[in-house]
Amino acid sequence: MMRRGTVIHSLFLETNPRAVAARFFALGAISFALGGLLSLMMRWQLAFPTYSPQVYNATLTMHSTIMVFFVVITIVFSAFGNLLLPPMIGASRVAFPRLAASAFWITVLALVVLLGGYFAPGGASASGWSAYPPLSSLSPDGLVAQSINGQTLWFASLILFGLGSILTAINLLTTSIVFRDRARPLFGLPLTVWSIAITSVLVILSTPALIVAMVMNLMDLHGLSSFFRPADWIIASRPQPSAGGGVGLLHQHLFWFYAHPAVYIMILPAMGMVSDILAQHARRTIFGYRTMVAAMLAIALLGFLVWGHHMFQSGMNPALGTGFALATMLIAVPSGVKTFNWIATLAGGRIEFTPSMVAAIAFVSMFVIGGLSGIFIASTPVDVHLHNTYFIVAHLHFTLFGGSMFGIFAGVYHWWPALTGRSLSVTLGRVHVIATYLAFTSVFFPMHILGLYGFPRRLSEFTHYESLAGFMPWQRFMTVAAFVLGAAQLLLLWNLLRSRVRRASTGT
Amino acid sequence: MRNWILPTNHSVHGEAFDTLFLWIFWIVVAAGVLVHVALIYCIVRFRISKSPAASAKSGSIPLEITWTVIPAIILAGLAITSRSLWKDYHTSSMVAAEPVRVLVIAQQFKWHFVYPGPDNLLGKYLHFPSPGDSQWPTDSDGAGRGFRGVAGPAALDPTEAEIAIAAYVDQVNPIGKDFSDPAGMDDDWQRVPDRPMIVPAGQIVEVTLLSRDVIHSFYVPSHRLQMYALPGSLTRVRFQAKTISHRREAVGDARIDLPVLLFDSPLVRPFESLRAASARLGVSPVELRSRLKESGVELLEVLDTPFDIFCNQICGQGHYTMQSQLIVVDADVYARWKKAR
Repeated sequence: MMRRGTVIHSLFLETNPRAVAARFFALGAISFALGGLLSLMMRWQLAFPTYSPQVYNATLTMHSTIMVFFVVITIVFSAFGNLLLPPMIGASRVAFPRLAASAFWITVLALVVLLGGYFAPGGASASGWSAYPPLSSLSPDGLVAQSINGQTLWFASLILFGLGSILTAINLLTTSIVFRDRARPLFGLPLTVWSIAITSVLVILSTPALIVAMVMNLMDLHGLSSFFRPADWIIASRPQPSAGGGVGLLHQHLFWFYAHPAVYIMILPAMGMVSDILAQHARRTIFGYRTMVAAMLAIALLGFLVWGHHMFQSGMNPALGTGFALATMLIAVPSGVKTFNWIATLAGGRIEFTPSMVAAIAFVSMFVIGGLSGIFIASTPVDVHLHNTYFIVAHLHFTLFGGSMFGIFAGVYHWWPALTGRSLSVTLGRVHVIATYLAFTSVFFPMHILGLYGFPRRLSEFTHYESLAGFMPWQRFMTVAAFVLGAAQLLLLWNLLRSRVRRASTGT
Repeated sequence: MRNWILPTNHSVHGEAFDTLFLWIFWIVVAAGVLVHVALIYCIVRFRISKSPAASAKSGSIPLEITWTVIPAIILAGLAITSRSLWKDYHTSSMVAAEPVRVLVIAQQFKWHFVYPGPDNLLGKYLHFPSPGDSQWPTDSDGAGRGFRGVAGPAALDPTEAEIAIAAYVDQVNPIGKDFSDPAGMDDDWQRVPDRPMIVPAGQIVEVTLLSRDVIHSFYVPSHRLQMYALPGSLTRVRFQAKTISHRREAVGDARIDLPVLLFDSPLVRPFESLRAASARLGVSPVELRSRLKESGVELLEVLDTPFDIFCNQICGQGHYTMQSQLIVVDADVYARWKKAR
């Protein structure tokens, strides 16, 4: 049963990195469908109030948790990393094949634990993906935790996920250092390699903060500690015990110390792949190779210095706000440099509009919009008005969907033939990318305008506010666009399935 | 332009914030348009059918330096301007010897507004009985009657003590007022919050924020104001309101569906509309108007521009209901309101 060649072996014991990558892709795809369905539930609620506030809050929490961890980080880093790094550096093997393979199963367990929240008392976690205590020190139904509940499982899931991602990173980083074919010069390697290696460092250095924060929250949730529980804490009129009193801001520092580099974990591999794809499909070398490497290093380094910009309005010491704001403004510089280099790569090229190229160009467009909206909120005074509004929702979706997901689309279209030996329909691919681009913009661009008006995020029924009720036509428009966006992804699914069903030669 | 993109600003510090916003706006729009024009140009001009040979240029150091340094200068400039406005907002420009003080205590899912008395000092809050107390806190207004002389929570078994404390908190003292604190003796607070936040126009208001349970965010977009209310620590923010929320109208013509700022009349309750008051009294609005005139009220302050207060940090199921209003009043009305308290 355990012999090579059997299903059991290939599912559980195969440590070939391509197989590991394929599993991560499958996990990411399933998670994308789940996270996408949850987002459609959210959009439905906003247009046609149907669900209870607890269901809405749980849906928004689970949507973002699944998308950030089980879709974007999983695909852009774990899947593409395992797939692309070894061949791109000419490695004969990876450093820790069994570690890499086990990272996948740990990630699967993490997802199962997360989804288990739906069956736990109180339902799935409902305190937002940032899980600020003391709200996240309560069961999702708002009561003091009496037993394992959806919030417990949420914290446990991220501990597992964090562990899995660290194992993947250790493997990829060590492989890139030790097993690089020395005949390939360092500054000749594809930018994808640089991006994966740098991202691995980000994962290793930042994820421990997440794990620590999750453990501390778990203990607080079950009344074993008061890391974040304040003194004189009253829930439903009942004082809660908390020895000595804790500080909720500490969670925010720990969480964002991870979660800000996490967004660079999500974008850097996409940037690396887009660089290689743009160059290849413009039939030339990338413009400014060394600068592109330097820019990625700068983004990674600065990425550790900006976490406080998520906390400008939290009551943190305003002097700290200044330092974080300066670093946040400056991190736009290397991102801008990369954008100009991408455009310079297209200029003077011979551009072939393969689906991967179309996706890469769409990436540049949307990542730029997302990055530019970030400049508003990098300014601490402007952030006073925009923090926690729809403006933030627009910004994060333009960078993470418009950026990372389109980078994933570009990578999938580009490397699917290499992974599977099958080719994809070019027309279907172009239609998918363009339809997604247009539908996505329709859903998320209006959110900038809502946010500027002062429309708070995470409101399960905004019509409760007379001043906001007038935005219902906007919300309905965005909901329709979101369903179109969801439907457009079926084109990609069909394209992928179709290639497996029909035997087609590998063209590109 | 600023009013087209942003909601009208009604605070003093908001002017400079909005100016900075507009600078950023135009820089961002210019950059965004530039990038997209360049992208579109490239994909049209250099598509494979129109581009016989690819450039061999692998980079250009002068270009890299230019497009690194220029954005860096612009962004550093924005960061420096942001810093000085931010510092102002939190420290220097809003110093007043005696600001108008308001204490905002957030709880799931309502806002309490506590105003200091003539001493302009706020007392201590969020002190709750604990199961080990041998006595219930004494309160100054007798509402704790049911708890006076009764043995404290320590005399009860743990479950009963918890229930008794919950009853005390709910019925007597939801914001944990420390009745023994002299500074708080004259504070104006409510057991059940049912009033908006009232501040005078043209004076610096210092808002102190506390939370009873989880993190909430006190958000007033019309005044470019936002600050988290944290359980376990206090936060503070200052602002100065420019626009008043009310308009003076003659009793005979005053709009009847809007709340009225009358604090000392037996006919109309504070924040009640004329229509609601007349319904409550069982008279017609016309009759109410003439009764008001008879009682010497010729002019009414009609509340036509209240400002929204939102909770802007997810705080549980009722987060979307956690709403209140900021009412900005002129000196006249403010004096009358303080007198009536």
